[in-house]
Amino acid sequence: MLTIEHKIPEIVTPSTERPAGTRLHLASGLLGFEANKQFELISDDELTPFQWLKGLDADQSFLVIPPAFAVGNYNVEIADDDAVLLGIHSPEQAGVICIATYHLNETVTINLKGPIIFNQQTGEARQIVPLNAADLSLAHPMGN
Amino acid sequence: MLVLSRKPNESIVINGNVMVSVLRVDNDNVRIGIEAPMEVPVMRKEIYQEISQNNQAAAGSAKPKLKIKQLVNN
Repeated sequence: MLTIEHKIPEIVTPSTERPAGTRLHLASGLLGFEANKQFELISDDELTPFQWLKGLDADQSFLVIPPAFAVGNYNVEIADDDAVLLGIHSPEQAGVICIATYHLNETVTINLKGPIIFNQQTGEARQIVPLNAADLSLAHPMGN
Repeated sequence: MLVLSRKPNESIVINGNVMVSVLRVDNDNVRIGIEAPMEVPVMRKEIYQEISQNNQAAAGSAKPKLKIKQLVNN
């Protein structure tokens, strides 16, 4: 078991006007969207701290956020098999993003229960159900 | 749906690489063991359903916002 304590990541300001996104490969897709495996994680100044997770093999985009921006103390415990699959040996190698849902009443909730964990070097990614999922909210309200 | 009867300690093999075993049966509670390649996601159906439904709702909610942004940018 590997425990990842998620901290607010350092935002590296890109030098170019149109920064390339980070390519993420979800070998198993997202739950419910198993066929779509190639994504790009795109930062957008207007949406910070949210980012776009843009599907490359389907017209499917998600609003995502590093969970530390939504909750003060976010730890996920991931199974050894998931860590092996992603090639993650230490928590520092792992990136964590959570999917946001924008509701009709203009509130935003964050899915902390099914985070996307990725290897920051290789872009290999997986939506996982953490071992401590029972303690995590599926729809954590984002403060405005 | 394929329906098979199994006793405790008997198993079912799926696709040659997934094994589902009945470990114990107590009244209405069945303990099941699953051996699958690590790349095969295995989880309780309720959790799969709640997260996949959340993903569907999130994808739908992101789309109009993305369209709005594209309009603004063009």
